[in-house]
Amino acid sequence: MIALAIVIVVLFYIPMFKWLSEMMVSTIELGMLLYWIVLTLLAIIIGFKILERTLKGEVG
Amino acid sequence: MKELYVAILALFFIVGSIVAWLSRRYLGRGAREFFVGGYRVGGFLSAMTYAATTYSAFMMVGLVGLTFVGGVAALGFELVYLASTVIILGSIGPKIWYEARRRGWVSPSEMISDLYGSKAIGIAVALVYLFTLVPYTAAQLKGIGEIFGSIALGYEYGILFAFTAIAFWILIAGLWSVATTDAFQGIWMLGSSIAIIIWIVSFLLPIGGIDYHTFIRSLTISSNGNLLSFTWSPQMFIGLTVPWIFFALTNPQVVQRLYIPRDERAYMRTVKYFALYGFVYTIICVLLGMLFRSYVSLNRKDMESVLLGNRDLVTPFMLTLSHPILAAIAYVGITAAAISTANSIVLTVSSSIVRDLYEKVSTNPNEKTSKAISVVAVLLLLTLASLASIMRVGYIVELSVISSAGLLPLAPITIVGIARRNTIRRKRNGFVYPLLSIVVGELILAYTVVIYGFSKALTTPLLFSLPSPIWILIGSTLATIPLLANNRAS
Repeated sequence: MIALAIVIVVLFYIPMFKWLSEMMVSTIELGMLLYWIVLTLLAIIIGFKILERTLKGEVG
Repeated sequence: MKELYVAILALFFIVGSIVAWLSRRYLGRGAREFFVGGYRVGGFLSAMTYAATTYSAFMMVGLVGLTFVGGVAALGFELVYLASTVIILGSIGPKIWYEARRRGWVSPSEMISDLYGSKAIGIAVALVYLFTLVPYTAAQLKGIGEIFGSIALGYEYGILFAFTAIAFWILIAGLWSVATTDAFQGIWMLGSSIAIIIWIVSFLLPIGGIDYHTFIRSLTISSNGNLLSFTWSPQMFIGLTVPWIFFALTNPQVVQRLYIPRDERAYMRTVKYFALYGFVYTIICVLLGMLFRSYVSLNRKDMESVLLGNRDLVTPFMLTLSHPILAAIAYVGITAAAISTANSIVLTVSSSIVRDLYEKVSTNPNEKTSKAISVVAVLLLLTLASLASIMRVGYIVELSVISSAGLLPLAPITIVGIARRNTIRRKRNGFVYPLLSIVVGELILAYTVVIYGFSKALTTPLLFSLPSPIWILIGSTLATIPLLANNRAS
């Protein structure tokens, strides 16, 4: 789970490659905006899952 | 406008003060009650104080301006912070929460000091907080002073108002009054930003003849390039985001918020409500910047270059086009964002002074003296920040910008300390490595500032095309590796 979360954070940096950013925008005009929103929602869901597991394992 | 702002600000202050006064009934005795609410705070209140503390006036002024100039990349910058914070709050956060109540931590420097079993490291961390966060607090006060100045109320009166509100709302009931007023201010911040975006979408854009297609086209062919694509340099993106990824572990005012939820359920609610608040607030602020850029480029071409030259003027100019009541509510929202950030910083840094520079050093600390030092520390820190903003010390804003990088060396030592929390105290000379980690990180930052200056210290390539925050992180992480190696060997 933690590894997946780190991958998600790294994926935020993919648009730094100009051609990828251009490709996203040429496919969908708001592609970059949607890309980061989807990544954030995924990170939040994974964060909640990790939280549940941590609370059960560590504290509970 | 002036009268309206004063009236709404007065209403804001009166309601905030009533809220703070009512919270007194929760306050018990001792530093633990004053600084962390006796670890008895509910989920909603914890989440709102976390959100209002994190999100400063930067969101409605800085982020809107940054998006206006550089487009959607600002969204990536702000959302990578939110994503990594939720992950940290889900993984390391519960361990900090659990250990805080088990070991009785009050200040974040005390946490580091206790993890490594060294008073010296606690003092060093408290000093790092002082050097990085007093300018940051001064920058928040300066922001309020400038709002007062821009509507002819006098810059100095703005600082005086901020000093009074912050001191009053801290001293009434410590964390309890800060958390309850933060919740009130957080609701005001979010409410006013929602009101502005409704006004833009429902009134300003239709008046400017802007529909979805015009909006997309105007941003695609802007003078700064295609604002819907990535327009920043990789160094700028990395340099600004890396310190923020670790914000939840490095900034004491939010680390201390992890101590306060009363139980597991409250902690879980804190994370969930904060994630929701942060997501909505970020999207609104970025959309405001993009929508307003579209409006200005099609309807106020005369102002476009002025706003591109000074992006902090974007929000004030936007508000001059709205109804005065809405503008006044929004200005008070920005004031609230600055106050809610500054009061938490002052409370937290004061707790470090009381715990690490008095209670842990004194041979016979007593509750009465602790309380007196708490009050003096709060007033002293506020006076320092106010004096720096009144004297308009030139490097305040620059110092506040690099404060996130100044705190970055605390990330590796916090992560290693928490990961090895049960064994690290037993390491011989274990405190040397975190101290070395801090020194290495701060030296790299100081070197970058000397070479490139404050404004470019975070975003200029330092080595192998990578900006300084990456090297600060690498340098301070390397210094902690012997701790992990020693740990395995034992």
